[in-house]
Amino acid sequence: MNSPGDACGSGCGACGVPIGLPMRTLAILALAGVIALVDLQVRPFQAGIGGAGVVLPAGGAAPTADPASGPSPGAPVAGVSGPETEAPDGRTTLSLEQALALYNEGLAQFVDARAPDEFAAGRIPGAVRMSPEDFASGQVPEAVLSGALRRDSNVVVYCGGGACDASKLVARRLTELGYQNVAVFLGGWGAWSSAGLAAEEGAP
Amino acid sequence: MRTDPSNAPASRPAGPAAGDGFSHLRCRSQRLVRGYGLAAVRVAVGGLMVLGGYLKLGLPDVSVALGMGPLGVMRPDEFMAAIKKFHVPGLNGWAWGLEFAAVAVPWAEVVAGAMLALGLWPRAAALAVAGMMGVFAAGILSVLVRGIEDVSCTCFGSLKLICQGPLGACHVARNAAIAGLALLTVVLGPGRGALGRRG
Repeated sequence: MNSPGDACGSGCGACGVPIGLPMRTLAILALAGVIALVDLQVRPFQAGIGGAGVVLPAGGAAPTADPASGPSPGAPVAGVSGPETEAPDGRTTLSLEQALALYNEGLAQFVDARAPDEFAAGRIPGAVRMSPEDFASGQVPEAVLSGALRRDSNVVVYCGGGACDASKLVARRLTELGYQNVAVFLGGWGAWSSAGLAAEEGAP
Repeated sequence: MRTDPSNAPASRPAGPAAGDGFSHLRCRSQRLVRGYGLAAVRVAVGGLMVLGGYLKLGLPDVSVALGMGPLGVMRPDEFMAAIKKFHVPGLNGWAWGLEFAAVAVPWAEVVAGAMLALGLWPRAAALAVAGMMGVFAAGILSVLVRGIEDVSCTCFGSLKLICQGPLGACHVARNAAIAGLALLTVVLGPGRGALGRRG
């Protein structure tokens, strides 16, 4: 069907829209849905962050609020091992007690995955800040580039606690960058601060 | 069999009387421009969709393999975290639904985008693309209206395409523009080079 005055007869494209268009559209989306279901079966949705896992000090350590007993950043892992928690999705996670034991023994470097203002308002002493956005478009955070976050040390990543995902995302990215012993402190800053443990604030 | 006018052979005159040299040439050029223009739009929009889906599926970064630096591939669980921040009613409390959405949305982009770029069921693929981009634009607009902060678009994984900075009007406009371009294929047809001209 040509519109009036359409000397070239370029035609009315819409007139050619097939009646089965909605069905075909739904078929395309259904095909994508089937592929997604297969993908979910083939690839575990949340693969572990990998690595050998964080080695905890034997027996752990009693909780303490003494800032003077802070960690020695970058301390290499000694040949001690302890209970390690593995979540159902394979990710290595730490409880408050386990994170505190690493802190007190100086066996881990802590990474704060929260926003800059939250980091400045209060953090685990010695923690470096690194959010998922710092890895956007293939960027590598300054703490990684400078070597401030050592690849051969235990790394414990935390965020606000509760349902926050930033720590898991940062942990995954760090593992991809070659960090072998990365764990997520699920309770995060919320559990740490609620327990009245050591904290520091202000610019790092 | 119905024929898409934009795909009609350029040498076949239609409309004006044969022998009218000037009109014939004008019509030929119009058809060529229209056919190739629609094809360019179709391939560009389809390619963008494939790129957007690929960057959210957590597949190996081909850009790194080619030595061109990382594109910013996002993993499904990272995309799921981004979806959660949109606070879609009823979705955040449904773990399987979230996981499925985080994988199905990128696959829908890849499948519809590839079919559009190749011209397989081009109108249906274009309608799927327009629908998805329209929903995404509406979702972003909803986030802006509700005043939800700290939300990333993640439309193209970690890649910031066209729109930089926090989620805003630019993202709505970009997605709406892509939806509009896809609708061109729905209404005017796939243009030249489509593998399948029906649907």
